[in-house]
Amino acid sequence: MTSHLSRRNFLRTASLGAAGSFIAARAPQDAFAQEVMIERAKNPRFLIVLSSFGGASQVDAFLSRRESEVPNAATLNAYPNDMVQTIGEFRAIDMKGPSIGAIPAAFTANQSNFVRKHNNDMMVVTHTGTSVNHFVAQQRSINGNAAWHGRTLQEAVALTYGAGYAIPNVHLVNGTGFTERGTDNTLPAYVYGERAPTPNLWPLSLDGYRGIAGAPDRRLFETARKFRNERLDPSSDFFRTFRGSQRIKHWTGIRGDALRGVEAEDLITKLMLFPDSEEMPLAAHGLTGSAIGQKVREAFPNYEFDPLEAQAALAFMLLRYGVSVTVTLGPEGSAVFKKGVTLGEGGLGEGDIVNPPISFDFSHQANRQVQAVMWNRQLSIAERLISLLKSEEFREGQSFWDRSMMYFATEFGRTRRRPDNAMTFGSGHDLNNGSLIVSPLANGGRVLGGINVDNMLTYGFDPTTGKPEPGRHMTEPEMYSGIAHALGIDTAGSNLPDMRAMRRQA
Amino acid sequence: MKRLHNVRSAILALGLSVAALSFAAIAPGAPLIQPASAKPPAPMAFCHAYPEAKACNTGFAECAACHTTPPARNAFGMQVSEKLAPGMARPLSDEDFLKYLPAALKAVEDLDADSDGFSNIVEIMAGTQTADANSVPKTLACATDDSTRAASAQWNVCAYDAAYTFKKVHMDFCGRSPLRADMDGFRRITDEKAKLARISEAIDQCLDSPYWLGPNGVVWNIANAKIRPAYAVKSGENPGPVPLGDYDDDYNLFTWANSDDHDVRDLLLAQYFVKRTGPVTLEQISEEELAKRPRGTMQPVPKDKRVGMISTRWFGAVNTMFTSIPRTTAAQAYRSYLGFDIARMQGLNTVPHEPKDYDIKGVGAPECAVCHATLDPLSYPFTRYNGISGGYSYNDDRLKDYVRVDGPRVAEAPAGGMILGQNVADLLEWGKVAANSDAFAMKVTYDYWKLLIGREPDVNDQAEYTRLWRGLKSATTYNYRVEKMLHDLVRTNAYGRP
Amino acid sequence: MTKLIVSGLAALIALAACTTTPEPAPLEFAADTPPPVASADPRVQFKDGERYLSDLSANLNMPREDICKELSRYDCMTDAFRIVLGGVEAPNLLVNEPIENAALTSPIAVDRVALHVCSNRVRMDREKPAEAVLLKTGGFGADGRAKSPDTKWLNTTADAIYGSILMRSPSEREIQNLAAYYSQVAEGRPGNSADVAADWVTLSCFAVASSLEAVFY
Repeated sequence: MTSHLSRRNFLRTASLGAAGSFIAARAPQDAFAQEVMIERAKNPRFLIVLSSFGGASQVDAFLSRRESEVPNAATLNAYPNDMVQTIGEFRAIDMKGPSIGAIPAAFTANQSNFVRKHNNDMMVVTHTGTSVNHFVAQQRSINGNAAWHGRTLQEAVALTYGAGYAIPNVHLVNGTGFTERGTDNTLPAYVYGERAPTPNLWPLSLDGYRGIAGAPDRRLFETARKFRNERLDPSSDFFRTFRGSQRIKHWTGIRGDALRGVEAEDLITKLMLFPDSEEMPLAAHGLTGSAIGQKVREAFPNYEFDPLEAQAALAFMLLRYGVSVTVTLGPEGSAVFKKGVTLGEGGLGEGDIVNPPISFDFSHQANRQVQAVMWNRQLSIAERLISLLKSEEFREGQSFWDRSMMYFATEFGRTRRRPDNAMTFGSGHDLNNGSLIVSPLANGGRVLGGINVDNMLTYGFDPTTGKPEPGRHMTEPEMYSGIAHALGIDTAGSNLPDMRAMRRQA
Repeated sequence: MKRLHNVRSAILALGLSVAALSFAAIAPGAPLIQPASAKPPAPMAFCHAYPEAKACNTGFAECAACHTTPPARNAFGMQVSEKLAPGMARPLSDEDFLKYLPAALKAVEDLDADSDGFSNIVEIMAGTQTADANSVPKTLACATDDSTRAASAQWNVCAYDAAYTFKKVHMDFCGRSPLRADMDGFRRITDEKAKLARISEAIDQCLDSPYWLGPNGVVWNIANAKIRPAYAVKSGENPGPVPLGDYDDDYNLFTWANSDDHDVRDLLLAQYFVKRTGPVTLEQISEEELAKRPRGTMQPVPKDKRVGMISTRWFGAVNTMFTSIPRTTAAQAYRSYLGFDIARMQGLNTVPHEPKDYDIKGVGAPECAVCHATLDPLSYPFTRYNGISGGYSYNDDRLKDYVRVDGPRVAEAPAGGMILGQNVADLLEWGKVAANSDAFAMKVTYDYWKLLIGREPDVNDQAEYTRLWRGLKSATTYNYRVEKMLHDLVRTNAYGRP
Repeated sequence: MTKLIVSGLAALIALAACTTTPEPAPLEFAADTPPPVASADPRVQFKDGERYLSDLSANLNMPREDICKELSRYDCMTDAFRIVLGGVEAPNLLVNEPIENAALTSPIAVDRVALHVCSNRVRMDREKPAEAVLLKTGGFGADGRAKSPDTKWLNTTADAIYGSILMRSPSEREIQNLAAYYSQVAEGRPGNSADVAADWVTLSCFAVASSLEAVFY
């Protein structure tokens, strides 16, 4: 194992245990840069991107307005007065309904409980995006529309804090632009997102040996790897002919220290969410479930059939075990039903549909109901994840939550118009919206910006003071910058604006 | 594909945007289509500065020269931007932009935006990407000594290597390596023509394999991004929990059009459906059989209104859904079959006095109109085809059902629209114009190129790539038969030279 | 962070071990031959898991449905590692195309698959020597007592491994390298032990099956 750490920094990394070995392998040449990397690794911030596929609208949640407040309420998305609660600077909608538009499934949705409990950590920031295309807008919600050389927020966090982590940036959600790799190709390989598409079996891909019946001794297995990496491949005509290939360079790069570092962490055990069972015969293959598995399964009891609960469970484990500094999870495009439920005669019961098809985007069919159901889902996941993070100490009395930010990234808002006094109506994509951020690092308890009740469009705020500025619309780069700075990321040289108002006030 | 399509889109965007601006000047009160921040004249201006650059063979550079996803700039674009009329208020007018761009470009010529060791000007002239360190000028020609050595090596990297190709076509088309005996037998062939014939024979066998033609096979998976299946709402065989439509119909039609002696333009022209009778066998479904289908898998659009892949029940279900003016549907069709991604500002063909915003979505705002002046007229022909609401059927009066939700003007949206600068009366004509366009042929070829070569056509591939897509269009060459094109694709150096 | 420090003691030792633990006696490998001409435009493609397993299944004479199963139940490609091994899954996971860049876990997954396959093949060879594909008998003389395997057996086995996995004969150099590796596998154990021979065949199979030439084309 090679290292170009200065002697002083070598000793400092030695005190960091496993994190130190990762830093040693990833450290830049410059001694000062090494020191910065070590310091940041000791004081990480965690970014949880709870992506909200399909357009999570603030107007149907924390910026909702009562009909009595809106002059043209009959044709704008203002809610009946008694449906809108005011909790601090936020609004909340609680709703029950017999169907979700054309889906005959009753539901009960609640936002107020979350707002009451997490008010002090909640921040809603208004903004206006630049694309109504799902995939493009999803990407822009995490790269700020190429605000900082095209790197995503997750990559920026991994770059800043992730050098001491086995897999700093993990993507748990599939098929969305929220996990699309950024366009800054100058970053070190370890900061780009690593996919974890299937939570139950993915931990098996974290060790090349364990759980394989009849294999020779591990020590011998490692000699075979060494023989392959150091002799067989380098001397092969295939390698010597095609060594210039980027694919081969990348492969040989991740096959070395990075791989050994991952295996040394015993992540195949630590991240094994599922217990030993007939379906997952771990014990018979020399494997065990995670020591915190039961705690996590109790928090997310539907992990076996609800992909989002499985993602959330694994997200917590990744943070808790010091594997990652940023995780991205969220609902996908598929409908999710309670276990054993299908669409049959007689319709669906209360709560049978956990996630409508295309998630928030089913608002095209029934805006209010879908927004209610999906916000309820997102907040329920968030609440449990926050509770778990609060329950685990990071260091010296600080919990993991104290260092975390949960960003409800979404593509865009929804259109505000509705047919006269309609309760059920479809909405389209609208560039104008806002985002929910929940974090002790954010300017908690605040709505930054406001709503123009004449057209129900949001407007922006002064980036320094947070004072509402009607007529101003905050941009994607500004949102990106505010989140990055609240996370303590140094963006010197990027020309990103200082969004002081988005950080926790002293 | 991005590169070539951006060239074409730049040509069309430039031409029509100039026309649009002129028209606006002539017709007072007409809405300003192009906001000053978008710069369609840029590709042409770039090539005025560098007429000899490889990227300027057609007269227009690509947007990706300076941008990631426009308007966001890449590293080179940022360098240029810093030198472009410093101190002047933004956004610049088109006139000022064109006036100051040459000096800005000159000022950054000796810089190296992507730090790959090649200056910006060297990369511009060589046709490689100034903002991508992985794109560097390459010399592909071998020195004489190397050619001699390579000819006797396991891989002949200085020429087309038939043995390498033989193995590769098995991997790519059959999904497995050739048997050792077959490989050894091939190596014993000395005559070059005989080798090529053997390769062709192998392809022919593999093109009928389940790996290539079967469900979840190669051709099937090419269609994934175009069809966008979602199991949760699948009907028919092996249905999901909320069955809305069966995308197997779409995959089967796609496979049919891309195989055997079938015309690939049927992707946009077919008025029939196809069923799978075996792992690799497909046949057209008779109208009688189609009419007998249960409700969950019916294809309600009448035969004479069908437009291949873009009027199927599934396509309407997942794209149109409940929308009056199905912009997502049109954009998906444009992207999937012509390779133009409007979300990335590709394929823009601004139509004067558009968008009319019939459904009052606010798309007329300047920042929206940049794209919607193309997208909306592209979408009108789709407005007679129902999605989920309306039962996937064809209905000339469909838009009347949306007046309550989208306002009275929505019913005025025409059935005719515009695609690639041509007026079309309905979706059938839309399909015809699209299917016969260069963009269609380029996209079909591009999909297979990317799959089989492993990357987009780069600057060194242009001649071979162009020959293939032009051949696809030619009645005397491949005549829109994909399998014929593939036989020649594997004979390119891009494929067969290690 | 406290937990990281505690658990990291082993890692710290490992880090130090890179420079202080005595290395085993160095292997003596065959000299490299002059390098071939390098490709100016290498466009290698990753052999996705399905094709990889299809090849191994055909050439190692192992049924595809049994060749590799995680936890003895889940097919390595279709169930366990589909995406990181270059597969797609559009209807449920919405993964329409193979991942552009190999994931960190991709080489680990390949190692697992290769080890599964090779361990299974050698186990089958030991159970039914008459049908052996890789591990064949007769390497230790007529009476089986030779202290180390004979050259002919090493050559034949190397040829079987390369032939099955890479569909070609190994070069002289490659055979010599594998033979040299035998001594490392045998270290501290009787050179003519059946277990040593089995381990060497398994691990040589693994090394070749997870090599760049096996994984890319």
